[in-house]
Amino acid sequence: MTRTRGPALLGRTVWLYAPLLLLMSFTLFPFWWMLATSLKPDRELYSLQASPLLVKTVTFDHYAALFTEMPFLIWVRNSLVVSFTATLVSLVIGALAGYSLARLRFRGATTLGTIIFVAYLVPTTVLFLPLAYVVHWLGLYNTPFALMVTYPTFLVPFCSWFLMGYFKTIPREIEECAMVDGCTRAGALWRIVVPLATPGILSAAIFAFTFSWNEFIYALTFLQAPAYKTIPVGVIGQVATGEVFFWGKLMAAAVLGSVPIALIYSAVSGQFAAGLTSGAVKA
Amino acid sequence: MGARAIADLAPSQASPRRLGRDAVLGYLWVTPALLLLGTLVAYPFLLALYWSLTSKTAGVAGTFVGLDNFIYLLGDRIFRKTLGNTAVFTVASVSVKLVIGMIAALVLDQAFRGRNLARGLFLLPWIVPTSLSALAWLWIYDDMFGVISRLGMDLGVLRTPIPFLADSLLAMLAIIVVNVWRGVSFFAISFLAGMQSIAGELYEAAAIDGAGAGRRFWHITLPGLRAVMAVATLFSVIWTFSDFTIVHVVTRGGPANSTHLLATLAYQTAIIGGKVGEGLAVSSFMFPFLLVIIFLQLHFLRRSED
Amino acid sequence: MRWPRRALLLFLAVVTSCLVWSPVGDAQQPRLGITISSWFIPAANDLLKEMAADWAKQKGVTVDFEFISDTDLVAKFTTAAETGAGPDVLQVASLHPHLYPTKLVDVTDVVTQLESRHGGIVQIAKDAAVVNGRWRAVPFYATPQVLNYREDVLKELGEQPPDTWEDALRIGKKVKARSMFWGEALGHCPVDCITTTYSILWAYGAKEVEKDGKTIALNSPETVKALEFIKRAADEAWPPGVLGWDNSSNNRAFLGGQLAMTINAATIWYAAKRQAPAVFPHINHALIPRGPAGRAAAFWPSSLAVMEHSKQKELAKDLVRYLTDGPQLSRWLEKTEGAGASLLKGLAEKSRDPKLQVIPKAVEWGRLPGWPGPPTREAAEVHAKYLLVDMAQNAVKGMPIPKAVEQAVAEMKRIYGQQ
Repeated sequence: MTRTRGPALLGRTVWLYAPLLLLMSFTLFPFWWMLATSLKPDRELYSLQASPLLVKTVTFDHYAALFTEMPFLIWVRNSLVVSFTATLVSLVIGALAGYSLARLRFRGATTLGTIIFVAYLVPTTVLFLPLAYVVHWLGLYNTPFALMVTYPTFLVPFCSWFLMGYFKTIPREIEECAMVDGCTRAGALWRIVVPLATPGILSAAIFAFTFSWNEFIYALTFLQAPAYKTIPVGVIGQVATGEVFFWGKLMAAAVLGSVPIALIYSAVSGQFAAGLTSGAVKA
Repeated sequence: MGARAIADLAPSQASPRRLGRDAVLGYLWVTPALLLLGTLVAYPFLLALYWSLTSKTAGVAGTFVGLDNFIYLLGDRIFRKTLGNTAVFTVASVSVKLVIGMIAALVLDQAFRGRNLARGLFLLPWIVPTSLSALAWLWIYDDMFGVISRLGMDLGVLRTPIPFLADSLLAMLAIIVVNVWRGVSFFAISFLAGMQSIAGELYEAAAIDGAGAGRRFWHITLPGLRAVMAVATLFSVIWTFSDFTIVHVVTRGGPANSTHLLATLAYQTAIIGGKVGEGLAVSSFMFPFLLVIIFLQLHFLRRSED
Repeated sequence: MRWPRRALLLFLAVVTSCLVWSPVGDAQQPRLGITISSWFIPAANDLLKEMAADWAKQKGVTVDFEFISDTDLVAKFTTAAETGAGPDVLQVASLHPHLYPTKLVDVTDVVTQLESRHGGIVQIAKDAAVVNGRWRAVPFYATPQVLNYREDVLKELGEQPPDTWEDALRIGKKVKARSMFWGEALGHCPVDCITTTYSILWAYGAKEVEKDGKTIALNSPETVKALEFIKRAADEAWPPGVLGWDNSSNNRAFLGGQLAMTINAATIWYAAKRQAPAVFPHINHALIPRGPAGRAAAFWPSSLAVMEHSKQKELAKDLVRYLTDGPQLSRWLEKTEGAGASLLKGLAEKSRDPKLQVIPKAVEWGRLPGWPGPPTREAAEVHAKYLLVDMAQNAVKGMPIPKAVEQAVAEMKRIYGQQ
């Protein structure tokens, strides 16, 4: 492709580079502050002479402290296991439900689809109280399963509707063709719809994963043993103590707790290729 | 006509052909979701609803008081203010997120070097735990150390720091900005994923017909994203309406309750104040609004049949 | 289509390794759970854990020591009170013992022992933890709110640390001329903002209710005087951002050299030692200023309670007894580097930095919400809803003071059920 120049370059600047710059600045500027703070010695942080966005003396002490002063790795492990499981469970249940609501015709489908939203009518910040009862009765209190089982309660409605939306954008004819050829509904779902709905599934997965990753109140109230703590609860509990915050460590935890996931998403977002359906329709 | 009709997004209704087998499968595949939600959501939800009709406090069963809590709240100045705050917050945040999200999706859909990295970085505000990113914003808004104030003063634009969190209006704007900052990614990535499903030929055909970028957007992209837009907006409204952490960390509802949202007031009442029944009544006020919104969205989705 | 399979395999690998790596508790030993609010001094936290582990070894049990942020303690407590699932020992603050006495085990025997060994317990600890004559929690420590000030700045101005609120205002105006501030938090925050409002109200003789705990007494000339003072202070001395300050704002501002005076626990001292060496040598502390009606400070003690649902109450009581007893408490207080004060009258004070001498003295001025009435549910609710803080905020923002008071009283009437 030839280098853009002249009017094409101007066009690209206006429609691409300028908005991109603005968007990225807005998105990343707090992160820049977080990153700078995590690399700054505390003295520099409190100095009004020093610039908030630049770092005079770089220190990795805060990052080191995360691993030496507190069981950060254990929190990471717990967060990973809980988020992965909750996401997987919710995706599967959500995909099945979403597909049914999108394609299969049966009485009461609309009602069921709407009832699913009941899960959002009480915010988790007060719902945790009655839910704590259920968790206790199921014998899940203070076990990692408490979270793996309760997180899907707010993930499944989301996954169902989200995936239903994406399934609906895939032409019905493709599945019909396959089923005429002897494919079952389940086969059609797994072998045709899911691959074509990949961008949607990936998006649902990343959203579900980050919801679990960031969740706080259930993790705080349903767990007690330090060995089960997740990152948000562990970090805030250990580092955001009352009114003296260890900002360097907090921000180091924020950076470590988010950048790897963003990079993973970057890696898989290459899967988003335009025109996934176009070839299929022609075939 | 390679284009595909944008089917109605509402769940399919009963009708001919394969009804028997489809129906069985339909019920079967919806069962896991219903089972999960039935045991883990329905019961607590109904319990919460029941408690809102009592004078319950933590650990102590209350007496049944019917609608007393609700009547009390409607007469409460703080509650009425909170209701207003929540409405303003939700409408403003969601609208801005929708527009910026669309712009971001259009930008991130184009081909440029480092695009995948950009997409990943754009997701960062959504990924980082809000309890931690909200703390960063606390610093940004600080009246003595705040980055914005200091930059403004260094550049000579401001004479004194802006006390963002001390003024009712500024504080509301402040939390809206944080919510938008965090939530734009959701819209952008949803739209981005949706854009991948729009057949490329449509754009080619339009380009051949001489349609400019604007018309291509309006007549191809937007309609193609209608369903996604509806679903994304629906969820964003629900989540924004019940947002908690940002206010909890940055303003705690102040100054003078001008940034209290239903979720934060419910928490303050039920958990900090110990009045569980009253707190749950606060959060119950979300029902009518959310039901209306859900209904409207479904209506909109059904009407968007081609 | 390779990625779903890879992701699946990766996930399975992660989960399996995690399950293998899971903590397998010693099933033979009974497990006790204890939840404490995390101190900003890691060494203090570690010592507490260590001491609990020592005790556990002696008794042949395991202790699950959990630290959480003190603002989250209440959510934990509510869940525990509600579902009966939670730690065996929980740190309680505020008026919890009065709100849920039946959920906390009667620990009068433990406290009586403590009292007899250490010469009595300060009044505020009694107010906080004694319900109907029985102790529902064992007093642990307090972090009294005192006036933190910059010695060097005051000396330059030829001033002594202020004894009265009017003095503080006078000095506050002077430092403003030097581009520094006297600042007090007046936002929606659970500690400093409450301290500011309640302490000033009490110092001017204002009160929420009478001693009977039921008659609303907020509407009084004393309240008006107190609010007038707050408004003057905000207009003439405090920085404009105080209405949005949270607990950590004054810490930050002081450490950054912006504040010359502020009321806070001795947390600034600790932070400055490590993070603000330019400010540290000049920090000193004084008692909270007094007003025409006397001196009072709003802060409350922390206590350790045994939850009623605990399956090993006696063991839990013993752990509490161990941690709050003289020897352990002294060791731990030392680690708090002066910010913590004991609630035991007779506990010999180990060496404390001269600049922190006032900390143990400040404990006797502590008062709970509802004072001079008893700590009641209604007082707790007024406190949780920031009614008095809002009243002060409104006054500062320009609402006519009688109207601000009226509004607060109307809200209080609703809470006290006296429409």
